[in-house]
Amino acid sequence: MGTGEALNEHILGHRWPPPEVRLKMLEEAVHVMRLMWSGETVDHRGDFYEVDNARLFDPPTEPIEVIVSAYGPVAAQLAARIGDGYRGNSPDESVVGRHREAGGGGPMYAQINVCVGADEEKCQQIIHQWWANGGVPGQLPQDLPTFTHFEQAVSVLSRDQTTAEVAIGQDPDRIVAAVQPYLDARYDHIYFHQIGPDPRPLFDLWTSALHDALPR
Amino acid sequence: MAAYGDTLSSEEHGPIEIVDAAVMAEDAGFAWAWAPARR
Repeated sequence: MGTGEALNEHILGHRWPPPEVRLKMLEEAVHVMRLMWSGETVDHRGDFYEVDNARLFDPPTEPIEVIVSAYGPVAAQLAARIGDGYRGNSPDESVVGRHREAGGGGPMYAQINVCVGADEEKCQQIIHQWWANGGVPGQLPQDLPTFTHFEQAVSVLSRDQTTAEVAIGQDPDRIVAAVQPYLDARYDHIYFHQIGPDPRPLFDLWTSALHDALPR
Repeated sequence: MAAYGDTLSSEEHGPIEIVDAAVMAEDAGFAWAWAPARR
């Protein structure tokens, strides 16, 4: 769960709220979800959502973990308060430390972007073609409303900028080096995103070397 | 102890390719997958 992206939500035709409002909306939404999962009849009159006499007749039999995504310190504090786990995009202590200091517990998830392949030049081309949006900085990815805007934003990025944060090649040590700062920051669930059309090079490397090379 | 998973990227692949990737991930020994619905 997170505060959303205009890319997905602009289609509703509503004004795109600023981050501080979206954080409040997220908190209320998680509250409503947990009410519904209780299986009780729910009436809710909130600042953003109304639920009228609603009931789930097949509520979950076991608690559902709400993993809350947070990229900044304020969101990390909220994630600690309302989440059962945390999903971040950085090992930066100024963010994950805020989550920890605010009492956040549970699993910590992070994605490592990779482009596994024998030809590193080709990997760079793939990243620049398929995942240039990964180089769009700051708040922009949350606020750009259409894929056309993303295409315009990435058009000014160099290949060095779009590939800078991606582990490239087929040397497992390079991927281990990308993972280690996240482990040091106490992330305990790491998932790999193989950029591009073919997922198989990652699976081949995982089977042959990466699985055994990674710390447990 | 860290657990490692695989991303199923609906931004890059269609539903058939996603299912194929999920099967390959499981065959490769990944214990779980993350399927982001964006943030």
